[in-house]
Amino acid sequence: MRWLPVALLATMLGIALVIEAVAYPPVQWLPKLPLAVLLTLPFVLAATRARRHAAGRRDRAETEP
Amino acid sequence: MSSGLHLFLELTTLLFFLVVVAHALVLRGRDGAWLMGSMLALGFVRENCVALYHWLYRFADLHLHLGAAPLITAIIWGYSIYIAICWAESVCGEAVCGDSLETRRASPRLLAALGVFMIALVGFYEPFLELVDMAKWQDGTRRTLGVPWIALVGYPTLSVPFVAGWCHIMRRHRGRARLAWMTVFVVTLAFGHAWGLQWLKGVLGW
Repeated sequence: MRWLPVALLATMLGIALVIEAVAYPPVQWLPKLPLAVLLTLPFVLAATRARRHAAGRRDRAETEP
Repeated sequence: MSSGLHLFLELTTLLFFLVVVAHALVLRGRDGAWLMGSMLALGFVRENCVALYHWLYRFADLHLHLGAAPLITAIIWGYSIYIAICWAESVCGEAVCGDSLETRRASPRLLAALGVFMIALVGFYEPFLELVDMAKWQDGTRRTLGVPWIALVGYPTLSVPFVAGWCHIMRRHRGRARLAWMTVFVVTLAFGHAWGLQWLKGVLGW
């Protein structure tokens, strides 16, 4: 839910890419690249945090008697 | 095709904006209502200044209007800044407002992240709007890859002071005093930003 607005903007970017590819080719990728990279960042960070949490839980479970 | 495409983009943006408003209300409650209301007023005043004084760029003849400016231009600021806030919150692990109301703070780190996101947004919006003929910058505007240089300054200089000022007013004031301060702040920032950017564009020759 917290990520919904970011996902909406990613959808908007996708719509713009389709319009550009169909009606105004070729697609100008370069100016859009920084935003595309930034949009993936929250998801990458969340996955990293989740992996770190899972590893921490595994470590604690192994060290507990 | 252009008119049909314009209507499609206007309605899509309006729909997405309403979803974002609902998101703010559900997740942030009254703070969310204050945030979206202030940003809608900010976009409305700023874009009407641009339209009435013929600053920076001209708009295409679009279908939906809010005052002298197209509706899409008035709502796109709130939509974009809200998404930038959500993005910066998730990257920095901080909350501008919502979960814990006593926060209502924007750290320098969060504001910097917000500014970076808004600059990245220029590369998407500006070349696309020019391509589909929805907005046209003044003749002689300097640009690289379709990105006007002045917009790289304009996006962060509107959003970062807005969020910092909004947090400050929400923390300090209640009731009618809050409404009064917020109105003065939003109108001054919106008008000052449009005028200041036009002035800077002239001084720098951009």
